[in-house]
Amino acid sequence: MDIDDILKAFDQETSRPQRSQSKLYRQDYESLKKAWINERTSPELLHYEVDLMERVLKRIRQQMEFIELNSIELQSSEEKDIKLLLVIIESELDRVNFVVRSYLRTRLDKIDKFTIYIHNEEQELKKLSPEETEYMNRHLEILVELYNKQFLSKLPESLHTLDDTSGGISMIESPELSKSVFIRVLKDIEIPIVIGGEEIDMKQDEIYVLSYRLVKDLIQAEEVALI
Amino acid sequence: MSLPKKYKNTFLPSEVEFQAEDQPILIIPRYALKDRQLIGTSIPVLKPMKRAEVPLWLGFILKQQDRCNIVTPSWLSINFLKKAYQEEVTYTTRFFRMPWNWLEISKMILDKASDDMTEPPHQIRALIQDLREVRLIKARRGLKELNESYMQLDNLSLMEINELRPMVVGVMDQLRKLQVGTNEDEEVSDEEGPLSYDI
Repeated sequence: MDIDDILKAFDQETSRPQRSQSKLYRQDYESLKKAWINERTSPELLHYEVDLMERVLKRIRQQMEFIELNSIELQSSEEKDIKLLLVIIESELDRVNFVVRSYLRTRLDKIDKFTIYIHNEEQELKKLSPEETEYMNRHLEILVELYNKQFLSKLPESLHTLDDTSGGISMIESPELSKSVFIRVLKDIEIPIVIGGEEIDMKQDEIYVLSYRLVKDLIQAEEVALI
Repeated sequence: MSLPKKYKNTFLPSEVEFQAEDQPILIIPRYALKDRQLIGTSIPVLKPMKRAEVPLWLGFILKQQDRCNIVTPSWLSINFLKKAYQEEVTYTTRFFRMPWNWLEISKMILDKASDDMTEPPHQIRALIQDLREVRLIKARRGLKELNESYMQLDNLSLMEINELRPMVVGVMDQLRKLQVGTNEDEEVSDEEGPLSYDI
């Protein structure tokens, strides 16, 4: 049983105390924002947040239902506060939707860019959601068909491949892991990071710019955060 | 296509502001409002004249409807900002520690709730501007130290970092490529552990 199962079990409980529900919702929103920020700032595609997204999308649907239900009643209702409440709920819904949309679009952008690379790597494929896998496959299919019809069929057969890696130059675009990223250190790091023979001891709250490759594992371990 | 170029690897200033809008702020409600769970946060019970903490975006909605007053954060005061400026001028090699979203939050409060401030808003605005400029000059001077391996930028805030980002990342990545070019023989291998990568 991992943390997600525990959270799920929590969610389904009907007699939960209000405060822990509130805390859970808050944590999920924070995690969603973190996933969004990480996806936007890291050079490679990250793992899709399956359970988190499921929970958030469910809450979005519930909130939309609430709005629909209450905007009809609004005309007859005498209560003034319901109008204000709806304004607040709609604003918050917009905010959450914005993060979700930007998160998904950033992922699609990377999937488009690294299609063939992801397609060929077992490890990379695992990072996609079922919907993203379907999107990628169809996109690739259409792209290959277009290239073939437009010009590949007129070239010699040996030039038809889209994933040629011979001759020292690869046609497959892969993420540039050495790209510089900005990070904030969340807690003191025990093992110093070595850059060009120099050892750096990272302390909490310090901010660095360095190669993504160096801190990839620390980001996953949530010891540093991309910013 | 799914993501316009200006959004790639960085954030728009409006998106940095968006992140700041989730920061908590103290308000003094003028009317009561029932508590309610939202998707990512909750509305606390609001009672007239009883201080409550809400996210900034919520505080501004209530403010707009004239249902609350915003309590100016303690750092957004003439005293604190003057002290920060002094520190900034005295110590030339490090930044004074300001809140992570100080630029965004001060701008939003000055724009939307300046009538709730106890000190003259125009003075606060001028001090913020001075502080911003002295920090910017320092940051630019620091860019001379840019190299291909790493740079430390402690105590810079999110907006300040985001402004430097395209330039810093661009220069560092170029320098790294040049470095790799001069060290062709010392092959850079992907197999090396993430902590021992050196070029």
